[in-house]
Amino acid sequence: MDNILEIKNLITSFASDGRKERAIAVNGVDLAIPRGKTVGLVGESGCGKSVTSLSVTGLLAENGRVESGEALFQGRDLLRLSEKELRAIRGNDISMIFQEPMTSLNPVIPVGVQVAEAARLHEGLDKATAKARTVEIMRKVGIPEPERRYGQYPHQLSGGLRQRVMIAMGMLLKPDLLIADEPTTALDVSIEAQILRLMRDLQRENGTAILMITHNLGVVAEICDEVYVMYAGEVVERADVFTLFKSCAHPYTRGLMGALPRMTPKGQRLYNIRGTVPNLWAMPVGCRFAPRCEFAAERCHGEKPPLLDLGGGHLCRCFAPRGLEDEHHG
Amino acid sequence: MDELLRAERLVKEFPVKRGVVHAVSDVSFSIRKGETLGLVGESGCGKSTLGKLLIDLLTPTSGAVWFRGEDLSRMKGQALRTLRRGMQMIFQDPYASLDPRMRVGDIIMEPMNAHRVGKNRAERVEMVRELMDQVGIRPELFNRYPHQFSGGQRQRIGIARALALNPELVICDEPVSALDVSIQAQILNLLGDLQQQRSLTYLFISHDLNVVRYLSDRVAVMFLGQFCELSPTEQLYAQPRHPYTRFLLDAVPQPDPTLRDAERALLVGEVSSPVNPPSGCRFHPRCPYADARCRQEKPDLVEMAPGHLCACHHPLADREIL
Amino acid sequence: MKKTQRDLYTARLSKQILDADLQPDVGVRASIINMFRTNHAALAGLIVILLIILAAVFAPLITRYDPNALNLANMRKPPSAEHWFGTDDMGRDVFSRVIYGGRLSLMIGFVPSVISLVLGTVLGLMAGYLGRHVDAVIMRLADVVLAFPSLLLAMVVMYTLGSSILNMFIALSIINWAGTARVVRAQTLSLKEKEFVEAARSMGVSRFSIVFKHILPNCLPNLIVLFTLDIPGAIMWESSMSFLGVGDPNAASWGLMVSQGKSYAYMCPWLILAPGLAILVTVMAFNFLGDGLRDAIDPYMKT
Repeated sequence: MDNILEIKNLITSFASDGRKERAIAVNGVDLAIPRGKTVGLVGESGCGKSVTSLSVTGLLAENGRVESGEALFQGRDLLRLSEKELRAIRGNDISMIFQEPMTSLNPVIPVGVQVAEAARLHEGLDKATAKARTVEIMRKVGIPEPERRYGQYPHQLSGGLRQRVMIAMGMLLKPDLLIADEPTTALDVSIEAQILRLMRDLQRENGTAILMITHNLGVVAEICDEVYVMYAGEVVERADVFTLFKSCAHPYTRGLMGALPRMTPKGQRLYNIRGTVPNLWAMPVGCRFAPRCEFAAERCHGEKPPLLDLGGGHLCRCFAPRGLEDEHHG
Repeated sequence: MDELLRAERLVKEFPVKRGVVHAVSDVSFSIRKGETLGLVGESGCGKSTLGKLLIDLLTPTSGAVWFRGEDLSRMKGQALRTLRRGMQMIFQDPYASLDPRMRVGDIIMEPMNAHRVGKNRAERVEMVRELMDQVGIRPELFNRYPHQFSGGQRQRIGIARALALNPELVICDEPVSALDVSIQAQILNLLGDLQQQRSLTYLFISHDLNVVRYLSDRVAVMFLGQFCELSPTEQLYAQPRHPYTRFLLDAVPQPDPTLRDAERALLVGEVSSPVNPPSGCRFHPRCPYADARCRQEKPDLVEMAPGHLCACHHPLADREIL
Repeated sequence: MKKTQRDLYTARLSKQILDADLQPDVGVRASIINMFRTNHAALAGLIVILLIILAAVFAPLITRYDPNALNLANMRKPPSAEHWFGTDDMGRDVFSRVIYGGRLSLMIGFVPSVISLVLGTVLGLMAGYLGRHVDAVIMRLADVVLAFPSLLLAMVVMYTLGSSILNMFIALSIINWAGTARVVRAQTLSLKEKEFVEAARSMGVSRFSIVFKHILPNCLPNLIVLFTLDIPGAIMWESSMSFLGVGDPNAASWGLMVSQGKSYAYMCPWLILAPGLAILVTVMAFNFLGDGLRDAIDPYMKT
């Protein structure tokens, strides 16, 4: 298969004040993004989904460190590149958008100028052409009055407009890969729907592959082709989106689905995944989900389950994956 | 059913540099004893302000709040304090809503101290421990500080505090929107259990239409400071009458990939500002049905079906596809 | 709702997990202890301050001579085994005078700092929480104080009230309260908008309780830092004023010693070096400690 990005056995650790050992935030993640497809990376806060993307793009915070693994992008291992080479790739071949676009925009430069600058660097346009292109693209992503918005500063724009500016930049650069880390989490549903639609347009037009990092299963169902579910630093399930929502196999994924109010009739209790995500420094020995799993057997507490193939690329890290016939609510 | 709280033509305006923010404009409704009324809307629509008006955290510019048949604005001193005990609030941010310098037991006890509940501290400590047990925090953790707890646990502490005075009405202002899905489910179940055990009435404010649908008996949809629709829950989701409600429902990404290519109406444009809200129907600049009348005349909430109110000059007909 | 076997099991398990999951206590205290472990300048500052305080308290035990005993046969002697810091122009032992002078200088550091801390905190809380006219009056007053050069203002006060140690306290308190009030007011304004204060109001907690149970405790870490930085400031101001001759001429503080020694600066440099170094070391120690505390408290204040 033709993958634009292939992450193999990625391990990332973090140092923390007052602790000797480093915490393993990402523990042996394998992930492949096919060219032109959208891959979802889902999980709750602290599961390592953002750390995975930051490791690959070299944007880890100072106390983070990639311990091992590789990330093949256009035949090059991103984890072995210098800061300068990575920056070139981030500017051209990989675009990133984050939950709060404010952090990715320079607060003292007008947004239009920032986009135009990217256009000039990337396509070698002269100033006037770059500005014309920018205005055109800003209009395309649905920014009203692009000529006026061109000269405005990031803080003068609403969250939705800022996110659109980031997407405009992405469209201009025509990246091979767009990494979107909770791009719509801070936005209202009507704006969210617009942004998701824009991302799909971007993909259709330029063949951009998207890595969609989110906690929102609704967004996953909306836009992703394949999904990886992460729990406590590990991938626990991988499937194409239809399989996942029809017959997910891992107790954690099933728990997440059961916890959605949409899937549960009024008056009936929501499915409770009990307890909380384990502490990074006190990871369970066997299956990391075992302490919260209602189906956990003795074996689960002592031995780590491998990522089993259930057929057709549906992977599940569980000794007793739930079959289709199993009832959701146990 | 008995009416517990009634808002009467509530208006709240905040003066700002560039004019006046019309946060809540002429909103009237009532909450019945024992029900859960959901209040949905996008950010800036005034739903949080409305919640704060009801609980007297903000003073309305005009209009009145009636609780248990009494007009709050006409009451003073001890009588007001006693009446107010019956209404408590659960806040959105489990990190900001607990004082970082207080022990969680004292946080839960604070409203008891303020209203001199119980004979002495020992009795109050016992009550706090009981509350902690009820919301799923081990009473032994009485002396811990908030930062030692996770987001979900803190929200439980906030719930215990809201219940400390045994209120009848609890205003939940986005209580689960800062939480992960699995934790959100725990808290929603807890709120459901507590409602049953203590026959509570909830006003549940949220931007999450799925959560509101799951929890509420009736739902009110708010847009730029006004109610555009108020209806029994299932009816609203099955048969929205106001175009805005319809857009909102269509915009929610549903956790079912087979629906992804379904024909859906998408709202275009940006939210108008509450500083200079549009004339007439405030939704008209973004509404595909808007005509001259919508631009001039403000629509009133009209009963379309039993209990189903809608403020629109051109309400959607049965099963109409936009 | 009837509890099933599974619900009971769930409840038990989730309690165990809740327990195991408690975060370690990393409050202000732990963060300060951790700071002393890594920030050696602050630790050194703390130790030096403790030594200076001990020396001032136990002055009679560590000095061999009466600081005021004249010995005209032994005038202006350079440092020796007998007299570690030499003797002054009246034959008094400079070491004893520095140690005893430390008592006075420390008092001058502490007393006005405490007064201005209390005054500034109360006024700052009032301005921030009550707002409107109270705020306007207090803050304009603070502006006036801050607009004057501090030294000039303090000297005017001393000239008006007369040179005594008590008036020195008053003068130093007057120049310091305004800064504290501003900081407290700013923090009160931001705390007032916090959800936990709103929660307290919604529950019917009184204004008084809100200020003293929520706002003041949350200002405290910053106040400790301010206080630690006010002390060396006061010591410096007093030294400057004594040097300029507006201090209490009978209070043998370090500043006055430097001032009196200045006529012999070339002949007997130890007369100004000894008290001058005492000032330098004390002020630096307090500054190091204050900076360390601020670093330890700042990240905590952000979360």
